[in-house]
Amino acid sequence: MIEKVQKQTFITALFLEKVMKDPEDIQRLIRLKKYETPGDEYFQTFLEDFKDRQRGEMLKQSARGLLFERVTMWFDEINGPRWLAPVGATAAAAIAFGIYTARPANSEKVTSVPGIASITENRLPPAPATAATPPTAVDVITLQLPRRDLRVPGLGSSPSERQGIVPASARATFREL
Amino acid sequence: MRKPDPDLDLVDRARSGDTRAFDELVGKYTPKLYGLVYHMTSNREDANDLLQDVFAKAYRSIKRFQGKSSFYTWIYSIATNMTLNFLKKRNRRRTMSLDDVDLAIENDHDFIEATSKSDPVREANIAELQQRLNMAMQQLSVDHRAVVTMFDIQGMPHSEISKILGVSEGTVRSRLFYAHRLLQSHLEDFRK
Repeated sequence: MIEKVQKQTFITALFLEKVMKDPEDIQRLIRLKKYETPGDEYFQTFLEDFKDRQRGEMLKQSARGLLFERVTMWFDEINGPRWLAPVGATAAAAIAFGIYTARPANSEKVTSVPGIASITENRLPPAPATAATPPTAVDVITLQLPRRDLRVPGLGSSPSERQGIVPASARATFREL
Repeated sequence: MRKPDPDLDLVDRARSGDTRAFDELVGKYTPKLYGLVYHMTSNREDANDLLQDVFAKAYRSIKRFQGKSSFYTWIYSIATNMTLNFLKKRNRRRTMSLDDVDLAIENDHDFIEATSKSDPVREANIAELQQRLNMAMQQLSVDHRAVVTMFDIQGMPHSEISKILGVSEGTVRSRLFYAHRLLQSHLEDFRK
């Protein structure tokens, strides 16, 4: 087996010695590489594979990733200044974060941080016990928004916000952001 | 006077969102672009992955195509740049993964002429020759490999290569000259 390989190598070397006398011979040899091909079947199935992969990539992308991509594409299409694209995307992400953090039913105490609403927990005295209902402690959560100048831009200051609830209409256009 | 782009209609439809038009463009140019990427990488798996990325990028960017060049030149430039970036980022040389050689090679004029100079004609192992040629190609820098692929293997004219690479035709010629010398030297090392 080794002898066979050595013989083939020797023959190929001889072949090259005979064919490479002319500088143009090297070009003729390299040109033969065009016969290296994956076959017709590969090209026939490539398009389907391409579409399958694109569908897979889209599914993998998170909703936030798609939002970011669409924001940048939108800015590209309006031919706006390039620096607006990441600013708009960051603002969109901040809105999403604001909505997430403003969700109710969270009674944990949060350390006050500039720019973020602080949550305080007050305990009301337990309701008077009756024969039907045992006494229970009721937790009341109040939200205090930070100063106006520290708020996320575009949210405005409607009365409902003073209680820490972001109204559904609090969406601003990207220009306003 | 520049020839009209034969793909104008398909490109306009693709830019308007017609995915079937883009599919037609994919089908039309896959063989040529695969050849470019494969001969640069000598690895069919890398070639397949890169080609997928090329068409994905072309699809995302097609609205920005302004028609200053033909669509073919535009997408060929994308493929070239992505392949060059891929190869430059890849630090160590990957093992080669070669496609099979089409039997039609035996009817090729250059092959017949080359093998007619040798006595043990049919004993020259095509597979081994293919291996040696690819190894010699991989010894070239990516810039030299690009001009050899485009000119020698794909038969592109110097003017087209210079547009795609963004260099003068003189630079293309000198890179080709130097690349041919290097290939000869690499193959001579094998002969010793």
